Amino acid sequence: MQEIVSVSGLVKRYGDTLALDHLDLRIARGEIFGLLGPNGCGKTTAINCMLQLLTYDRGSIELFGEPMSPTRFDLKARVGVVPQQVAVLDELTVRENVDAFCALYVRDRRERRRLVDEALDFVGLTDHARQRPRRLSGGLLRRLNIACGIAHRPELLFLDEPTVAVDPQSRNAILDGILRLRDEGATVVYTSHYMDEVERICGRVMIMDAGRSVAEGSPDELKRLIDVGEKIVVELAPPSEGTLSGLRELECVRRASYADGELRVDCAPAPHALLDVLGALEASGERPGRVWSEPPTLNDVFLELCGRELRD
Amino acid sequence: MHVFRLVGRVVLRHRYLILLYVGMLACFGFLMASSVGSPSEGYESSSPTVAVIDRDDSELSRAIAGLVRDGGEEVELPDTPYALQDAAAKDLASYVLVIPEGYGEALVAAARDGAEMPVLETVTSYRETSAILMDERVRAYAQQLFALLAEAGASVEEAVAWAGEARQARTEVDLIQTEATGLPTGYLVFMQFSTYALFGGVGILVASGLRSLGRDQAARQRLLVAPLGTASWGAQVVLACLAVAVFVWAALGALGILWCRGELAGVDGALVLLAQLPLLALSIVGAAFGYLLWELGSSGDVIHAAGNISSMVLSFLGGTWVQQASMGAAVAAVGRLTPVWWVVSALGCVYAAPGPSEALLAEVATSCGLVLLFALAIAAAGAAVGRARGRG
Repeated sequence: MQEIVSVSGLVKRYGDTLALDHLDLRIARGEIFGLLGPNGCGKTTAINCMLQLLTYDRGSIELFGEPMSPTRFDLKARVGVVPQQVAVLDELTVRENVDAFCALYVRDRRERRRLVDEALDFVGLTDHARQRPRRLSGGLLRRLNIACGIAHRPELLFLDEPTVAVDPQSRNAILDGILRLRDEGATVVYTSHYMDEVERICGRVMIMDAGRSVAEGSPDELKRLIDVGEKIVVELAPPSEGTLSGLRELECVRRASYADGELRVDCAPAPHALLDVLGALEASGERPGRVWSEPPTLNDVFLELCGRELRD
Repeated sequence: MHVFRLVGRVVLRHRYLILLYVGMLACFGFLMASSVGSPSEGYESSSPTVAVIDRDDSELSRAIAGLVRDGGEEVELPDTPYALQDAAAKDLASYVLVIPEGYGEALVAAARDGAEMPVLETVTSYRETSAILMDERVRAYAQQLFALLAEAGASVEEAVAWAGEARQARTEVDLIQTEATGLPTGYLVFMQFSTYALFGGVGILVASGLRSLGRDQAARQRLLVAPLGTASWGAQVVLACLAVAVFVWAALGALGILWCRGELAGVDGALVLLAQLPLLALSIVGAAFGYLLWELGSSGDVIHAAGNISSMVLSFLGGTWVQQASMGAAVAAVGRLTPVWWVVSALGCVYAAPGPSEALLAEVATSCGLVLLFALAIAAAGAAVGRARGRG
């Protein structure tokens, strides 16, 4: 599979601060690649270096198999960006906005008209084409933001937290749209703090911390990297102290606590953790109500790798 | 040329700014121009109402009192503190002269001894300039008497006689009609007041338009990742700024000509065009100023405040509100460091000229060159700020 993005040994310093520490990154054609990490981990710096918005101290960046530089307009023409903040012009209508940004890439007016129509249709803004951005809701604005970045049909698309502060319906529409872009052949680099989104759409994920890659792989591969198993929740009348201590003595149990009518048990990776927990409850004479088990999520992976402490 | 068209389109969408800084300021210019009366063929001086309290009753005091009575319409006032206060408060007399007792002797003694001139007591109405003029006349006349007594060694009688003869001297003035017609005064005033819009209005429009394009980092990022070289981007932005400057200049020029079309009927078109050249140069300075404000990352409020305050200061220092010739030396020295000074100066040259000439063209071109140097300096500062801010 052809590599669309190839970053090798990328180093970027801001004074004494090392923002990127020998970062290596490979993204294949047609992938949706998730770039995760706590705030300040270097995600945006890495993307800005790839887009040549920032200079870097060491390393190399190749897009579409060719070295990227600020004057490689042929490569830039194949790239699209959807920034985290909504970046549109308030003075122009929805259609004019999409056309204005598309015109930076496509000169032919007739071709552009077709692309703008397609982009508006793609994000479901055709009915709002004549409105000014200030009249749009938050979700529609986000969709306009995306339309401005994809109208010229980029082969490589950088999406920086495109679903921040949008309602669930709009988020769903945006994620479906990204999957459609992938199906139409686009390669997507996707950053987000919403792990469920990343898990849903990304084929591969890189977790960054302190300017380095700390883990890379598919969501399932990443989950297998960490020593966290399923979480079991049991509806229960208040159990005795003996029941709780009995549970905690089980080999597969990490933590067990009771609150608000629910017993919560965090398990280590083990094949029969649910059976062991239910067996221990039965042996103690407890009568469980509803029981459910949650497998480990990407969020658990993220917290395990990047730590649970608050960052600046 | 996409960026050029985009900037132009965004600026034109700021319709309320165009209305405010082109439409309303043009109306203000018309208003100021309307206040200028057309030159009349005759001359009629106005005389103040005067009152004289002569407590000295000497030959000198009678001469001074006579001067006042001859130059105004006298009203009788009793010599009481109440009456004097009443006259001042109720404006019964716009000029009241009180000659203190012993003034004549004191004036002679001071003249002979080389001491300071004794002071006359006067009350001058601030409502009538003719009263202020009368006060100036009285002081000048008293100084003349003092000088004759001191320098020429004249007696009191001789001093009064010689000063009286000097008063009778007149310079004959004739109005000469020429065939050539210069720029009308109303049009000159309109052009002088359009400097505010051409500097501040253009600056605000340019800065607001460009700010819309790069309001935040994200919008700027979207433009910077596009396949467009920085040189091409910069050139198109500069062209767009110039286009905004030319648009405002042309709009104000057209409004001015439309409004003054009657007065401009007989004026040589080349003269009108010459007058417009320094204004075009100033609008380019305004565009450079707007570019600088944008590169400084100014917010909307800062753009409006900086544009209006600097326009006000520059138009004052340049001689829009107070004639350059009437300015103090210090203010004029500072004024020369502003572009508006050279614009107003060039407009003055065109106004004074009966018709276009090579000498006038050279004079206007020199002023335009100086004004454009300001534009170049401001734009260079903007570019330097932009480079410093954009360094990654």
